Amino acid sequence: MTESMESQEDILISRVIDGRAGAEDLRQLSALAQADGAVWDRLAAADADRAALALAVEREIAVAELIEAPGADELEHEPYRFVGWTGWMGWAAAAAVVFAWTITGSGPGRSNFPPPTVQNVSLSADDALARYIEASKAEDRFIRELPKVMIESHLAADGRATEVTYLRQFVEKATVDNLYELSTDEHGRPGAVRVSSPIGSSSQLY
Amino acid sequence: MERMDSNPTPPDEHVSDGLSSTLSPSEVDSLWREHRRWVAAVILAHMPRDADLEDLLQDVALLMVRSLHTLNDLNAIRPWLRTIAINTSRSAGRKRKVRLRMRRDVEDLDTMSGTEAGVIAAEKDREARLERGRRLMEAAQGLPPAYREPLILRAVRGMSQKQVAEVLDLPETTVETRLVRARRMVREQIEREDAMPEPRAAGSLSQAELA
Repeated sequence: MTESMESQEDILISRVIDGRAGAEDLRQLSALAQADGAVWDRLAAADADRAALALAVEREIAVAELIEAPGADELEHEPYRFVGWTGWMGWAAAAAVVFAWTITGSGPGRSNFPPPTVQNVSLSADDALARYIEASKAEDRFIRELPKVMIESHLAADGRATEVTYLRQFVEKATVDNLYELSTDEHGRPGAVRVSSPIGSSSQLY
Repeated sequence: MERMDSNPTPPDEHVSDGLSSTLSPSEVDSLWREHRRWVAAVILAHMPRDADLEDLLQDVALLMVRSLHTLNDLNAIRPWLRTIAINTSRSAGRKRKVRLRMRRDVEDLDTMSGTEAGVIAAEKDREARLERGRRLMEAAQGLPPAYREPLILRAVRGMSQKQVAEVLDLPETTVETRLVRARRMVREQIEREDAMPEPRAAGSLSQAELA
């Protein structure tokens, strides 16, 4: 069906109920109504439907009045991330060291990714990760991926394959304003302590 | 159907600071308030039936604030926001929440006081309009997106045909044509439904059928 198939009456009625009809439109509609008086009934019905649909839409979208844009303070808190590499990994010989940072520019937690797009909403996990790595490299954040570490393996549910649980790690870098170390005071209470000077090579993280 | 730009944001290398560096937080807030109602209508036109509009709208608000740095021209905000809204709608999970509070408010506003008889008449009229509106909305949501979206956007209070055309990035004449056709398709759908015999309750066979 082509769009030119819309009747002149439909077009004129639509213009009238949209408040866009000019004098010539009204003259033409009157001419149509002289031949068929039911034109006025159809105009009234169309206008009633416009009002009813408007009411239904307004009811649905009324919730918009409740939604505020996130404030700057909400967004500023978002980039804070605790990274519990050592405690979580159990690789640290010393007490668990946890770092937190505030990000200046690009870095973890401050994504420069565009909003979800038609393509990337349906990406597989592998594709999404590949895109993440690509973007991370572009931001000069990504350094390398470490070899996977197997945590456990057991027979899969189908009884033939093996299900493997493994650790996948990336080495990344970020520019930080402040670096904090989770430590304990003399009473053994945990607390964040600002690290006043760089702590050395990355190997100390492990 | 118009081509849907898959990514509303230009590549970062072409972006300087975007609008986020020139707009104060209160201006960003005003920007959102100015557009949120029609953005809700776009979501409504594209979201899965059982998705939650409020959740999706919050997602769009967050994405807007986060991504403003990719937008250099405020004049392009309508199609830009629309793309975010559509992408968010399409990625909507199947969550359901009851959202009655604001509906109730709108309904309350819709029933103004008067004489008792007037109130009763207004109540009946309101119920009839609500029922008709529900059917129209259902029929509108069954339309192809190219017709569904302009029809729902045009139903937003204060949204002119010109603004609808800006949001959809289409010529006004195209929007007008789609509106005409959308209204006709909706009307015909309801006429078809009305022409269908009402389903009968089980066990209500006629004597002739029983014979």
